[in-house]
Amino acid sequence: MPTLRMTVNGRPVEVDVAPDDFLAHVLRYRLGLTGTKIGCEEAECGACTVLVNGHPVDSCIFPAMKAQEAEVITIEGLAANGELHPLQRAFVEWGAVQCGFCTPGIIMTAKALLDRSPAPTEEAIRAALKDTYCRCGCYLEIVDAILVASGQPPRHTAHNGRPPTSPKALRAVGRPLPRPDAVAKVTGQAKYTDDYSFPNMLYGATLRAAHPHARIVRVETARARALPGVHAVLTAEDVPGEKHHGLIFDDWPVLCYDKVRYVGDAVAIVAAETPEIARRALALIEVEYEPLPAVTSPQEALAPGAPHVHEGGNLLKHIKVRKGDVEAGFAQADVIVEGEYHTPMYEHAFLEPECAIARVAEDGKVEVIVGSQIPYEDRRQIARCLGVPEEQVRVKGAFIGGGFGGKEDIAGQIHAALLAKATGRPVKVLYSRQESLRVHPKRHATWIRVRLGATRDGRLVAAEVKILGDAGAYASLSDKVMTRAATHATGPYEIPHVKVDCYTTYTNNPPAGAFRGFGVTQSAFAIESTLDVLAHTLGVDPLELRLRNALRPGAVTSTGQVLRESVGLVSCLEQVGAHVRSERGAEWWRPFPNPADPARVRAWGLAACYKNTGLGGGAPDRGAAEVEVLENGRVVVRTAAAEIGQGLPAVLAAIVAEELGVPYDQVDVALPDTDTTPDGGPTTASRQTYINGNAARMAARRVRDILAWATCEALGAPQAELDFRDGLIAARGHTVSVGQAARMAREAGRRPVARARFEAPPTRPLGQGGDMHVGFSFGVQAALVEVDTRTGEVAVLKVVNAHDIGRAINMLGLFGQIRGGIIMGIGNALTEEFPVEGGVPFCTTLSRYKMPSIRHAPEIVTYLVEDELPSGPYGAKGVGEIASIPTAAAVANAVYHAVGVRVTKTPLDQEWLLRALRPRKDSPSAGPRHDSGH
Amino acid sequence: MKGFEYYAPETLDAAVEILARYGEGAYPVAGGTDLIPKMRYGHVAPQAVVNLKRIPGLNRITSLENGGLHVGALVTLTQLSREALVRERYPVVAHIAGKMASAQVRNLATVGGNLCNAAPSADLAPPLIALDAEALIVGPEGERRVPLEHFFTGPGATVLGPGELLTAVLLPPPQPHTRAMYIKHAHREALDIAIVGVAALVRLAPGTATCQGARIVLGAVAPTPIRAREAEALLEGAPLTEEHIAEAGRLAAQAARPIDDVRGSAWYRRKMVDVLTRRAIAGTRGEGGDLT
Repeated sequence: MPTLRMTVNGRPVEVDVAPDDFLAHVLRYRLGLTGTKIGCEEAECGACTVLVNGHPVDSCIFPAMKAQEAEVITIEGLAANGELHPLQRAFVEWGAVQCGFCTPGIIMTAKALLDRSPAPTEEAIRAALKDTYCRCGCYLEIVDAILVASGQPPRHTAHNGRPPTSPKALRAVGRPLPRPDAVAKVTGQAKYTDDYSFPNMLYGATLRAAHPHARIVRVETARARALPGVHAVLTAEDVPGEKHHGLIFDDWPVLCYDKVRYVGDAVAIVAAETPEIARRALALIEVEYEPLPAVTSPQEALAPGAPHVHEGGNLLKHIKVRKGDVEAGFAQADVIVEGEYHTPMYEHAFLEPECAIARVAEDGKVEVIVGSQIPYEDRRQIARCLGVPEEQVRVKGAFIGGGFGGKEDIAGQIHAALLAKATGRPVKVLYSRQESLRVHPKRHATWIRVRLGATRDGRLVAAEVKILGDAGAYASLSDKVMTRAATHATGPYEIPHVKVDCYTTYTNNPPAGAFRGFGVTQSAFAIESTLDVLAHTLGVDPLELRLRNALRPGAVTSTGQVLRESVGLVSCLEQVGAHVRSERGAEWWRPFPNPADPARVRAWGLAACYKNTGLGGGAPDRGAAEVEVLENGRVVVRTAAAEIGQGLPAVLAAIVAEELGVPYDQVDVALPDTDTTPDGGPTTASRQTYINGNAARMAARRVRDILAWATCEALGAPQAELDFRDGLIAARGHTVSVGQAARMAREAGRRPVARARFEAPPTRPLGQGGDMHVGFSFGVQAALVEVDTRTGEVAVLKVVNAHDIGRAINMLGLFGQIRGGIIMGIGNALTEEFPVEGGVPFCTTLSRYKMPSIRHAPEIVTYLVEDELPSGPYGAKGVGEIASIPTAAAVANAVYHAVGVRVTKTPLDQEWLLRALRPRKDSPSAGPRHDSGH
Repeated sequence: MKGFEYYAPETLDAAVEILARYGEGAYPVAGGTDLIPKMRYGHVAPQAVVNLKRIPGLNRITSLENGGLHVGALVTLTQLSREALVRERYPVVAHIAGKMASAQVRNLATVGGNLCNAAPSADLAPPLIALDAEALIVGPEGERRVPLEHFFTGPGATVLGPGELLTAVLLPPPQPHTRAMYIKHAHREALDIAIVGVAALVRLAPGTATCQGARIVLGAVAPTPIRAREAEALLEGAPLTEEHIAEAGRLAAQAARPIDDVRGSAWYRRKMVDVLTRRAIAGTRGEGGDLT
């Protein structure tokens, strides 16, 4: 092999490489510089950007030999002598980091820009980063961080020159404090699963189904086994325990045996000395299939005589929501409007592809490192399939490069464990981007019919909704997701008569599961669009119509829940309403031309939504956390609660710092580990701040009691008199530090550590009335769009929004979730779609999935409503999902206001829109009513 | 990636010899931004990969005696976008080169790669054809020049024969009173493939608004980039009025031979040819604005 000589971060390096070795691989796997991330291996995402002789390049496609004699700089080379580079510092301080996986690539691209142009304009920043993706959507924070790093004032996220602080801020709670893991993420030190490696490690690979639906006649693995370097080839018969896994129903085969049900199904797995040998081995496995007709839509699935995807029929669940008497309700209506809507499958496109590493300890225990949203649930499923007690499996978390719901299901965890057991060696199963796209569950495609009745004065009296949801090949979380779609289908309004029927079916499409918004994204698009249709039919201001019917304290939801408190929707509507009226006047919805080009028409549109915090529906919802004060004064919070970028460590650190009166940066939050951190439950349902924020707060209070007990005598004051602040415990003129207090406690026989488990107030299943959920967050968004009437292109220029999140715990994280959610919502509205035809996905590469880039990030103006939920920590509710829910409907409603075309399908296709505009243009009377009713 | 022979010849002759030996199994590589993902996904399986980077001189931009420019095939898009000679003489080329793909890709991707892949949507082709650029080709039989307009023979296909290599693009000297503009239309900005690209070049009679010469070149709406000759003929000798511009757009749309695919229907592409042609011609008047 030829020798590559280069300088990396100032140090000369010599390494033997093959002609098909790539720079990213050499840096990561040969030199251990794992700060450079690999997101797609197709020069699409930019996560692998490094500088070669000062130029940013995608190191994933950069042949290593091309770096001969070159000077290479990676993210690890940026901080000099322990001092962060100004870009790194600004990214930390301005919250331009969430999951952190894209961060090294973005910072390196930005560094190249600043090297050429020390004070770039915002336009230049956007141009330089236009194809370096941040799926968490911190684009505005990134713009501001780069401006600040180059000595310019921030333009998007500052309030009086700084990130904003909540008016209700306490010492740590409510402040814009940088995430505890931010420095590790901007320096490339944060380790994601693929950044780990072990001596003697083997590489796993998975043989996927060749058809969306087929009977497996024969699997022949002898040739693969015979390939030198192959250590194991496993099929279904090698699964010692349960043959299926699943989050609700165990219907998903670990390895398929009787038939395959979608193109991502696993048929065999291989462990080999190198990834290349493992892939070659896959090609040597012969599978004989007998193809079966594929069920490719829920409509087909429910048709008489449809082939069955699973025994027992294709209908996975029929979900009913009933309130009042819907026919009687429609009889009272003066106006009835109807609409039919469709939303397609969407892909999470988290930038970190799935990865799991398993190894067997000397005592036989299986340890799995994986970035999972539900560590303890992974442990349960792995143990069942291995046929061992759960205690024989240890799941350790790593940093997670985005999840958005897409890392709740099992990916390669069980396969890695099986291969490690079979070979006795560590095994890494890393998905390529292609494999990730092909395998993991998507957002449910839906078809939604809405019928809405109202009185002449705009009171909603009846709503009837029918939802059809494509669950794909396996159940995953379909039951829960589609229940949420159904229970939220009538929007955040009090409607006396409601009938919702939601059917979700198996098909041979990729499975559908959790995705930020959890079913509500889809039903909100339908109901919020219909509501605007109603407003225009009635001739009522769409904002006014929502205000008249908004949920308020005392209102009864469609599931029969009486809302007692923390219902800030009216305030959200009023604030967004005040803003759009201040910009456009009382008739804020009227279209207006782009002053420079009258063929581009602008208009505002808005939508509202709500979203439950916590699992609800009668499911026990609990989480546990442990807080320990060390003798060096540092405080450690431990909980197996996944951080997928949403900012949980910042929330937990702020809460614990608040309770213990220690500086925020004295608190460390550990990664999940099922052996050492208590179960925090799933990262889903916008529940972590609420559940584990409470658990951490309770644990911190218990530790404080221990410290008070241990120090009160020395301080000469009763426990109740002690003041915890600035890392000290003070009373009557004396102080001890919390570190000293920890030692005193230990010496007195008590460890300064406490665990607490928070159990959410009980909820009731759908259909039984009462509290189905512990609380709801509310959101209202108004989008300003510009439609180019010659091309059909739609741009979102501005999104004004208000969210009631109970209480702000960490302002950087909170705003990051809101802005990022909105940008993802814009993707749903305008660019993203995961088409599947005949069971075969079109998006086989990341380039075929169109995520929003920094070019799509509009101006975002956010108003916070802190209407506290008494059972939440400091009154906090969830925020992880709500901000991405109403965006698509707000955009669709704005497009209607601009050009009079009602969008009934996401994403909004420019060609479709242009066709819809044409008849109107050719004969003005033929188009939909535009200015009617106002 | 499947096994292949790797060559890094240091002379043009050596490269030509290797390419001729392997014929269609040989893939020249420069930036690799297109070939490498294709190889990784198994879309192509070369017998031989011939790295051209060690051949001296291919990555240079040099001024020609006639006032034109010689742009080596291995010049990167970044180089092309920043080179003062290009920016001064052919701003339309520098401009689009600086907007194609991502900054990371532009640092690797080359002029030759963009042209030789012969994607109907390749962004460099329409403006270069509008400028009457020529392809400089070296092969076993020696050197030849082909007008870039005739370089492309179909999607992914060019006039290059076995052993032949595109070594440079030759740009004629810039004409006075001439302005050009290239506009692409994609579902998602630059990184997505253009569904329509239109280059318009207009030479005005000095001191007038009368067009003396025009080039309208369309990308992504036919198997190869094509000239909209009827539109060009209409403009030639005519004043650049809104009516003429609108008519040129209509004629260009007629010249397009688009297909239906996932990125857009033929109907939509044709419609966009009309809109973009008008926009591009109007753009050459320096108004930047749009006409409907």
